[in-house]
Amino acid sequence: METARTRAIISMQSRPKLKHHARLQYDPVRDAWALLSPERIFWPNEVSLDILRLCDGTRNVEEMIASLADQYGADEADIADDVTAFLQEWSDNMLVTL
Amino acid sequence: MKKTWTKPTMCQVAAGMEMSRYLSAELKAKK
Repeated sequence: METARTRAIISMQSRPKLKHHARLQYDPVRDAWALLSPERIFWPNEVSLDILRLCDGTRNVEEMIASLADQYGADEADIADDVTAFLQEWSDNMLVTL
Repeated sequence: MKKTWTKPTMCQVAAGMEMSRYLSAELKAKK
């Protein structure tokens, strides 16, 4: 039986989207946002949260980086590696589709 | 004011214990 899956590799044209089983929820007790999935909870830092909020399947990675660079007053080239590495990691962890 | 870019990180907690803590905290907050 073939169970291996093909690893999705990110590109600037990928349109990342949170998997349907993962959702962002504000936790008033901790005053923080959590990413809830059936068996795991994640506590993203501010930058991660801003990236995840852009994962709605409508923007491609290039547009996400441009938006984040604007939000943070950063150079697109300086943040591109962080953004793509983050999205690739969470695609590999099956929380984001590319 | 613009925010400062830092490396994106996510702290992962296995559910089970954490999920029950999370839900009980949520229920308390609603009371």
